[in-house]
Amino acid sequence: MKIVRMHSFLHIFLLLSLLLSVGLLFAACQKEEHPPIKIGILHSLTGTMATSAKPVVDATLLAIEEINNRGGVLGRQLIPLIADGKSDPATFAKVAERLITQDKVAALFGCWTSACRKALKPVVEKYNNVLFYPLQYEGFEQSDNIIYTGATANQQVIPAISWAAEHLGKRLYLIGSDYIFPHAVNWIIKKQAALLGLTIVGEAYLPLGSTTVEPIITDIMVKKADVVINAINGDSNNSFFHALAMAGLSATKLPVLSFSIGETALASMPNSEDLNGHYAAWSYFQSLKNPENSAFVAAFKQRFGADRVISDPMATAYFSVLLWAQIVNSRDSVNVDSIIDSLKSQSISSPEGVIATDFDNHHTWRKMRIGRVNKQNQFDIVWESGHLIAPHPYPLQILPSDGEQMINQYYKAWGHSWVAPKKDAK
Amino acid sequence: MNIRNHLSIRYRLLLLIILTLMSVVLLISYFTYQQFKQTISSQAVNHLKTIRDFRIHDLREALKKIPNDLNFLSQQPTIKLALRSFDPRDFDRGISAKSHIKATQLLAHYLSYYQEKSRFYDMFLISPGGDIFYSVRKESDLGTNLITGPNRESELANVFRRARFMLQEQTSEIAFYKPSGEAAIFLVAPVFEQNNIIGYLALQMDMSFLNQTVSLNRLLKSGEVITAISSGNKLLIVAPLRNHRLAAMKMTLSKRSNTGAALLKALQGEDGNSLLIDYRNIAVEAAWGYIPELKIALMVKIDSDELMAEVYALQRTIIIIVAIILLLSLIVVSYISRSITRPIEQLKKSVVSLVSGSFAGRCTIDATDEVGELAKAFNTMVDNIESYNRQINDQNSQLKHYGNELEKRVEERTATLAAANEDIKSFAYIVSHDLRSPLVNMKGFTGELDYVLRDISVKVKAFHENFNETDLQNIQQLIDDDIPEAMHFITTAVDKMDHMLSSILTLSRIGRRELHIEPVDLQLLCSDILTSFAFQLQQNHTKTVMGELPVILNDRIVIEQIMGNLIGNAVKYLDPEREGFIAIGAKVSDHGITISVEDNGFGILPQEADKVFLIFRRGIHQQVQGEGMGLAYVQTLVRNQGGSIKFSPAPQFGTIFTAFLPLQVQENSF
Repeated sequence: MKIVRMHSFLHIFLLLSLLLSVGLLFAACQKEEHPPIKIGILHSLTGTMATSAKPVVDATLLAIEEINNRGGVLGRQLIPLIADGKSDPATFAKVAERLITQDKVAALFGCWTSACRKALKPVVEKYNNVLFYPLQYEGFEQSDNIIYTGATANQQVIPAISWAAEHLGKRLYLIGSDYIFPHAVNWIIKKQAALLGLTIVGEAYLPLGSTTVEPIITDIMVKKADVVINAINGDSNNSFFHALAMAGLSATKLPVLSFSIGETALASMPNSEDLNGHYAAWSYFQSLKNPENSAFVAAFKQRFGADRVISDPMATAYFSVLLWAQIVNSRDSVNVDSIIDSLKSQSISSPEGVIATDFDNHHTWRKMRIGRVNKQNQFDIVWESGHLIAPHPYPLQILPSDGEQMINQYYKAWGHSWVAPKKDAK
Repeated sequence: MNIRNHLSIRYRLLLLIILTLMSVVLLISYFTYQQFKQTISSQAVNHLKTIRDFRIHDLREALKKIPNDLNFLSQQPTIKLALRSFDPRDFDRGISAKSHIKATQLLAHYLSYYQEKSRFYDMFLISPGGDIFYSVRKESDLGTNLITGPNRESELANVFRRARFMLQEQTSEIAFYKPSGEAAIFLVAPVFEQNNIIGYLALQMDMSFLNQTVSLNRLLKSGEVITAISSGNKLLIVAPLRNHRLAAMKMTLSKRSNTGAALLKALQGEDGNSLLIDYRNIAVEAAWGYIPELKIALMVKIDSDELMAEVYALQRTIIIIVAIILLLSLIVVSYISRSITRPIEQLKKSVVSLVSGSFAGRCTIDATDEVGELAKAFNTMVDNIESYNRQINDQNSQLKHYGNELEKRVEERTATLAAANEDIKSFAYIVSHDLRSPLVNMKGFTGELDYVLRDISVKVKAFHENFNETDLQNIQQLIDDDIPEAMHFITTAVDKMDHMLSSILTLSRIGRRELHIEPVDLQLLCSDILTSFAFQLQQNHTKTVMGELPVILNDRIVIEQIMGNLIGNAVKYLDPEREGFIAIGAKVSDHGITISVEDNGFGILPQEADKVFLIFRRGIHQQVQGEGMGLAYVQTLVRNQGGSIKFSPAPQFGTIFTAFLPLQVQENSF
């Protein structure tokens, strides 16, 4: 009887140790759960900017998905939180604040317009977060909490004007939409024209969305411009180029060099053939031939459709996420200070080639290219800067205070807006 | 072959425990080692990446300061004054040009001071059209034009054009500069006044600033910084290497080499790190990055050996610990397993002694565990077996006794029977022999009677006149016919009997003849026999087939008799109606030889089958001459050797006789 009891005790003991070892093994094998990292994507999904911004959201998402497929960042998956700025700067600021304080996003990717960026600047500075801004812009700004991955005026506008002066002619007609980017850019172009001995034969601004372009066409013809420097944004381009074609001014007679027309804009234009042979200045064109770009284009088309096209802001948004991920991985931290600190020594391989962050101005070193619109609504690259161009948000030795003063004058004159108030149509 | 089954329990136990222990120890040490290695190497890699970042940071900081200084200088009123004083008319006269003299007056001390303080190599004032009209060092480039002059292909000219295009300061690539006779980096900044460019200020730097920046001397024992630019299909090292001080601007690396590929990736912007084989063929941990200002790739690398020194130390420690654990556990386990297996060993010994037949061995294990119980049970079992064994032995000896008795009786009986047999044999001999004697007498006296009768007949003829005719006739008839007739019958009967008796005698002699064993070539023997029948065989157109007949050990005469009779019968009883066929074969088995003789003769009818081997019995074919002795004779010869003979009908016609003779001829008395 005693032996039997001892045996059953032994059995229980053995069973317990078996269970214990299995349990321990199971517990040890449980991977330490890494919490995912939330990042905010802040763009206009509704309103006038939605058409432009949505493809940028797609490119941002592609980068996030690729990173997640490779195992995430620091072994953690990325969760994109897409927020709608509704094409309204105030909404952008509000939504950004919510993303930072409530959702605790590690970084923000977004904004199209300067107005939107300027609205977000105080928010990211207040909460010490970081915004990756993927659009080319006029410059005259620098924030510790914004990483300007798009080109500044000295990277896009100045080489483009120098190139136009060499190849298209010395009589420039400046035209743009009536908001801060064209005004600031033209301010620089006028300085550059003086330095290079170019003539600005005319300067005209269209209210955003305006289709009343005929008076300007007439003016261009009267002033005998060699080349039109175009900073019109949005649908007005459609009317402008159509009117130009109607007036018999083809690209060979009067070439137009645009700063805001990319592949996505071309694809959405009903009369894109009017743009045939005209020029645009960008760092990235979809037609770039290199293995990284082929892979990027293929991945994007596979993810979003073979009919989709890719523009510079999309490619920029894409490498912005990769850059952020690279920094986080190399620094082992999502900490904003460490990210900003690391900008002094970052470089990344992107679809347009090597890109480096500037040592101290939070912008990126990029090449500039001039493309000519072809029949496939793509750009044939006609010129490329041999070097990465160092970003100078205050170019031509313009004093920062002078630049900011110029910018702020417009802001004040337009009644605390970055867009000129619409005048009554004449 | 299962090796486990060949190992003793003790070694199996030893092996099992050692293996279990070792796998646990190895598993733990392996995972600890891996964890440590991973931690150390990831720390090392992080360290390396930090160094890389610092190097890039420092270099870029230094590079940033230069254009800032340059821009600052370009705003200096004296510089602007000097640039404004440029006179294109005689600038190509170099140091004697008016504008150079003017600029020297204005700047000589100022720029020389600045150059010495800031360690620049040279400074230039360049007109908006690219004319170098002032330089501190006054090298051969002074007084030349950068767009049209001899140095128009130089990096200075390139960077000048870029500055003119970009309207901002530009930094050149690293390249050999002919007027200075060494590698140089140039920075060119436009000088603005109001809305005009009044000229350009250019700086030339030699490589010394780069060399200082990339030096890693104090950081690590084997740390090295490689800086390279793309140069055609190769990579050119731009700063001295720690292990190769003269490498700067001389040493190249293939883009396909391990290090080259990594540097190329850096040039494409990739900010990476990995384990590499460097240009010295040594494994290194490397991290690389890109410096956009100079378009150079920068790689920081440390020999893996140095990086992993701690890991190797741990590796050694782990090996020592594992070895010690193995040694200790070997001792302890062998002691434990000995204590477990000792009783089993003892039990085994007892079992082995039991197997060898000894019942003396008993286990003296004083334990209550499984082995103890087994030993106890074993002891009981041995007791039982011993008692059973004793019983069996008793019964066995009794049985043996009975057996012996039985054997004796059988022997006795056999002897009796043999005697009887001998009696029968001698009886047959005596009968046949002795019976013949009276016959001989009878024969002799019958002859005598005949003779007497003839004598009487002659004498009777002499007396015939004393008898009447009839009596005479009767007597004459008696003497001439009746008596000789009776005597003839007697003689015939006696002859026949004599013949029969002599046959019996022959048969009985066979049994008493001693065999002479010798090798007999059956083949030769049979062909001799067939030859003797050649005439008859030819008459019947007989085909003879002889198989492979062996050489056997037997009595030649016996075999001759057997084969002669069998073949003779086959020949004699061939059917003249058809062509004859005779086949002789032999088959040797373990026990003996089977000889067969087949013919296609008359064959044997079923009703005469039982008389075939009987003496004086003959078949229906009486026209064939014979005495009915042959087969009886053969059977006796065969049986006498312990063999047998039988026959069976051949497939179509005739008969097959098969005689079996044991291989070792038994010396048997009939």
